[in-house]
Amino acid sequence: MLYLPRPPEDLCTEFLIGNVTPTMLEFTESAALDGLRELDSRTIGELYDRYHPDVYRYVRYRLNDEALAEDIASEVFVRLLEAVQGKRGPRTSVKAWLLGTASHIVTDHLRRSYRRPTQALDENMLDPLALHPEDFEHREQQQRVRGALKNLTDEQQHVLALRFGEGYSLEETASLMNKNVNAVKALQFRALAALQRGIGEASHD
Amino acid sequence: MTDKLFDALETCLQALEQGEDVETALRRYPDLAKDLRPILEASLHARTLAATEVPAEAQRRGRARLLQRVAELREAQRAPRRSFLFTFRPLAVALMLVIFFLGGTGLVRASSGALPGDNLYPVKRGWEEFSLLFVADEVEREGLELEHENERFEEIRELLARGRTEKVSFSGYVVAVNGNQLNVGGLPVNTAGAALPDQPVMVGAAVMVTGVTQPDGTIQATQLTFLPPDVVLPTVEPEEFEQEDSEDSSEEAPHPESDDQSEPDSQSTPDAPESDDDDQRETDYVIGDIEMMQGALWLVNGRPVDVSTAEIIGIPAVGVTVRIEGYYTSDGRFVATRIEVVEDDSGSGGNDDQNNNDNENDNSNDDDSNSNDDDHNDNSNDNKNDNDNDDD
Repeated sequence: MLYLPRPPEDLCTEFLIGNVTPTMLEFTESAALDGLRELDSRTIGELYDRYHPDVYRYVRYRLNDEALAEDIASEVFVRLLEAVQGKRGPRTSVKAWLLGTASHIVTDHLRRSYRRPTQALDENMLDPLALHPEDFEHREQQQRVRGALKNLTDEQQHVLALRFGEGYSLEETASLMNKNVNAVKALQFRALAALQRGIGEASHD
Repeated sequence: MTDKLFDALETCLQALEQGEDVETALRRYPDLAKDLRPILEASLHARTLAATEVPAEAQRRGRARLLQRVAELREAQRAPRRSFLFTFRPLAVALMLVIFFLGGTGLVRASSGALPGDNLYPVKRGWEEFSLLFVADEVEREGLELEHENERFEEIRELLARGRTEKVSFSGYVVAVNGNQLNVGGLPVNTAGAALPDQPVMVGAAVMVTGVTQPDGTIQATQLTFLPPDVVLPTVEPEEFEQEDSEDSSEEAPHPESDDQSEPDSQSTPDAPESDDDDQRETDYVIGDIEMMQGALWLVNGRPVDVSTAEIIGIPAVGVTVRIEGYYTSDGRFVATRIEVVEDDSGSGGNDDQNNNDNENDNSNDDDSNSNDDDHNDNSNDNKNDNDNDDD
């Protein structure tokens, strides 16, 4: 049931490929792509200001490390610039491209960190005694959630980050993930179910 | 069932976003509440990880990094233009050379009449060297080199005609020696004060002359060196040179100096100067003793004979009398086409079958021709030299 026929209203990027007209692209994205091609600092600055919060929040959702999130978010925009310069940039949605790239970078980072397990300094672990008991409990809960999140598949983490980290609607998430809404409905169900299991396991430990 | 569960979850999630709590949302799906409750609770946990704010400093630093990269790329877009040229510089140089040598043929053509000392002369010589690079065939190459050597003679004649003083260098056979005065390939050379080889310069020697053209129509040699006897030296075949000769020769037939040798002239020189076309060279005959044999160059009665292309009948050796059939080149060289060893004067009749008419003539004049051969040769050379000077 994961591969249902796509409804006509599905705005997945695949559907748009080959039929892209300027009117189908948001003007700002079209202008932004021109700016990236022409290395127009002003346009590129506007693009960054427009999308950086989304990218940063996405990365920060998946990684509990502010500095790393800052680096990765910044790296995503540099890669966008270089991709457009190398004629490999986004063909439809700049935002989808940015978040997709952010997802790849995070995934790569997580894979590397799994191979070289180093416990990052979690701000929640810095001084637990200094925290208010309620805050302490809240942060403990957050840790369990993060621990459970890390064990989800990349796609499951991606859909949760988009829906609950970014607060995007089902349709927008489907568009950004290049999937139909039914697939995203199923995916988010399984992701939340897996997260709940992970939290439950962490609570029992 | 599963689809209904997924749809119900989505509806409940949207209700939670609207501010409803889990239980209120689940009331829509009492039959699914048990399955949906943990999922909705998980969604609440999932929301707790959402970052509420983006650090302004992080955003500013990221922006600065991006714009820095923009500046670098902009700079790199200018640099590649330089690096493109740099990378393909050898190609560009090759292209320029091709353009020069194709498009520059006008310059080469313009330089074709240049003489030593002219501004375009290096272009002319450079082009000659360059054209040799593209000739792989040995014979063709040798022919081209001879052509270039011939060109040297033409240049020198032109310089002498104009009375210009220029440094020149050329190679040829010595066709006459008179003290310090030599005739090399038809050009008068003064060797007084020149660096000469250890051995005396004899007629027939192949030499390279370096010197300076003089206003008096001679070449003052500064150096003279021997070349290997088997060297292929230019066969100067300037048509205009010979044409003028033929005109002159018709007038000079009763030349004062050759008057007393009019008989041998008439019989044995029908005559070299009259040959105004390479393909229609007048055949000449020489009968005499071989005085020297150096590779393809023999000296017969003091006359240098190029035997490189000759058909040789009998066994020639120094001291042996031979009958040589051949033609003169404009530089005074005699090129043999056929050489026959003459056993003795009377024995030459044995060849009547082959050369009946010729031999009759030769035989009838054998004594005379032998006795007058040197004179005749000298005269023919003198005539040519005279003609040269007349040309000049």
